[in-house]
Amino acid sequence: MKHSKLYSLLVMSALLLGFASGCGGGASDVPTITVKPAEKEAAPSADDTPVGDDTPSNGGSKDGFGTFEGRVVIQGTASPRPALVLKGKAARDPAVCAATANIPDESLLVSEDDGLANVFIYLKKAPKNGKDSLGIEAEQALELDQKGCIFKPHAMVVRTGEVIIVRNSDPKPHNIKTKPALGQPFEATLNQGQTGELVFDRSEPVPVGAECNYHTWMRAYQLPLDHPYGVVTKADGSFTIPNLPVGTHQFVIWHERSTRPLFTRFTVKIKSDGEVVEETIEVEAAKLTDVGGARTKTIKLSLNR
Amino acid sequence: MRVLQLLILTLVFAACLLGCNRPESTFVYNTKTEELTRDVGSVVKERLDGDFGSPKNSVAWLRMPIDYGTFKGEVVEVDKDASSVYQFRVAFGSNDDKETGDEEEDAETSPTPGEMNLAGLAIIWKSGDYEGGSQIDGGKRDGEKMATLQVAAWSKDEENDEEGVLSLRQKMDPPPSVGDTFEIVGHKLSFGRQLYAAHCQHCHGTSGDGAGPTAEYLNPRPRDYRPGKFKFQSTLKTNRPTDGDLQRIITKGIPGTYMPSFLLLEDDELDSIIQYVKWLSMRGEYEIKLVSQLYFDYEQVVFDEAVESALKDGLEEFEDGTRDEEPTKGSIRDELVATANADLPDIAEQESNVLADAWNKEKLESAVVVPLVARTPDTAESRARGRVLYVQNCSACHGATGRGDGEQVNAYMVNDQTREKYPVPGLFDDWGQSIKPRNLTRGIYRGGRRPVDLFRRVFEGINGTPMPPFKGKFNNDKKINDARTWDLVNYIYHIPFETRGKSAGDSATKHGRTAASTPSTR
Repeated sequence: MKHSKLYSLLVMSALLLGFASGCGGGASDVPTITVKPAEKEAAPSADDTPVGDDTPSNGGSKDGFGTFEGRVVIQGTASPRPALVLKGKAARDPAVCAATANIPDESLLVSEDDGLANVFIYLKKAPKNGKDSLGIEAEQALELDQKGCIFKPHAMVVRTGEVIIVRNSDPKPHNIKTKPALGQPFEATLNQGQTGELVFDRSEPVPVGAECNYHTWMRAYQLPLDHPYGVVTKADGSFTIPNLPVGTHQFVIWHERSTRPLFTRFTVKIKSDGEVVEETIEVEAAKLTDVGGARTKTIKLSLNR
Repeated sequence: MRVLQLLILTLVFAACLLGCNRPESTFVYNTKTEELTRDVGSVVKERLDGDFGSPKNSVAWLRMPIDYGTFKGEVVEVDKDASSVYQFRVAFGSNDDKETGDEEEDAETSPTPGEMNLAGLAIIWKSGDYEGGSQIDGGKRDGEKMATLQVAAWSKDEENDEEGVLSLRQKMDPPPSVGDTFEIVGHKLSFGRQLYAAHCQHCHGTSGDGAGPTAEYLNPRPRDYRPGKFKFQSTLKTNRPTDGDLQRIITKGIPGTYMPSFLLLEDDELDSIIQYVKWLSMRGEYEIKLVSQLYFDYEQVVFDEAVESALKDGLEEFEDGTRDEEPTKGSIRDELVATANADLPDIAEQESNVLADAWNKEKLESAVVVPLVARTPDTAESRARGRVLYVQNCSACHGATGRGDGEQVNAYMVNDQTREKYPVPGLFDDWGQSIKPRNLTRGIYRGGRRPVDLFRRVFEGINGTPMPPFKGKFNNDKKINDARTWDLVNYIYHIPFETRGKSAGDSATKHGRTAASTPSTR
């Protein structure tokens, strides 16, 4: 009996000791402060040109310009997307949205001869000796309409600082919201006939999605660039990028149904003035199903990590 | 019995042996940062740590518009015989610029540390041999090895608040001269960190990612500061909040959520926490922006593909003769990583300047939403006009009777990050959390219950949520629009007192409910 009392005393004191020494909170930790000046750090050396071969090092306007054109086609069969909203079944404003016809899913538009529409083809950075304008901008109207609860156009390339007039042509109010990765977001709520001015202040790495808080199926994409070298493929999947300076260019090719860009370095070589590089860019249909479909998860095992 | 005793004893011993192994507090990186290819990811992390440090070794980056806290002082006595010193006598506050001293109160321009613990703070020399020399190593100026001198201790004279002995952690060789002026920087950052650890971090997380240990039991979840989005602010939706907005949230709490009121904090404590939260938010947004610029080229899967395609190009070039060496997978990989590393300083420069501009104080103060007209008197007519606007604009989410049960809660939203539909209907915020439109019949307003708070919620919407801005929507004339907004605010105040099934106009006229039944908030 005495023995067990001794034990409990021992245990109690050990516990007490544990409490006394305490597992203190982080609050008592006083951090050390280092000051970093506001000025830019001095460049480590004069040689700060990028090592990469993203931009042609020579050539330029003296050597002239070529054209990159062709089509984006789909390989294999892509099953057509079901309508986003069936006629008369809109969760909100059914008198206006999908009142007379289904609202189609424009995220995958394939023409009869397999052309893929709304593919963004662009350069990340302005090429050296590039032009200020491609001369084809007039085709792109800087207007984003909301009609029948659909954004029109579905995909567009804009220049930073350019004003896109956002319009509401529906008798019900719309809301438009963009969430760019780098630049200033934009949001406006518009009644019928009201307009807003959407301006992107920065070039973005990938197209920016616009959505409507009211009609959650509505979606459109805009790609702001600080140079003119970016286009969206037409309904038949065709595209033309004129005025490409002589040299090697790495194009990004992006489509909304793929979470990753289809190509981050699609190489186009313009060798001489007036050269027309024609390419048929083939995209596997399977690549365009990963949004909304079953996604495979890759787990990499590596000793380097 | 024996077995039990033995078991307890072993457990106690084990506990003693293991000890209270206090985990080192560290900042976590974003998922996207971790998804970058290893070499690029590590450079991004290195830069982030260089610019902001860790919770225990924090960096006061002077480019960021944060008040880190500064004490200005002057050396008054140094041991003349010593060739190097750790400590010397200093005076605070008295040597302030005479010109500015007239305009503002001394207490404003030159605070003194008093009894405050200055250990760990940085010291920057403003005059004398060490001027501009926050970059001092071992007492010698050394441009390459940058190490800030840190304070070890400060002991104030008993009779004089402004003078005392300052000890440093590093030796100064040679010693500073009498009359040299200096600044001790970072007390708000240091104090803020300690207070944040005590009061905030168990919910908001060490990194301000809203993922502290308590977070998973809370709904709504604690705010993740890293995207730089704050819900309840007085400024325009695309701007950051002012210090005053953060202060209001901390002192008043957020009614209807787990965010309590910290009204009992002293002013200096509050200020330090605000600065620390801003610092965490800037660190988080800086990381997000840096990674955003690199992610679509250097995310592991994309990068592997890019290496393949670059290798193909490289081999072609080698055959053409435009490339000297035959490229290998390794050399191409190194080239691409080198491109990222070469680009990163410029990207960091750009993003930090954008961030500093976004939090710029003057810019924020000019972005505060101020109604152009005074509040419309809270009359039955005003509420009736508000009711009409409510039905047109708000009821789809907040419901016809204000219960937060509009038809929109049955809509499917698309996750902006993955571009996939959420599996369940309802509204989601930018952090991917399910949220409900506010039930307005309860009279609990998260962003504050002053009339101007409600006005701002309607006018600018709520950042990071599907609550849209209604500015300019009620009328094309700005003043009339603001007057209409006040009508709506008057009606919203009245919703909890509405008789079910009756509109505001009805109840006001038939039941004689007037302003008396609405909370008098002005």
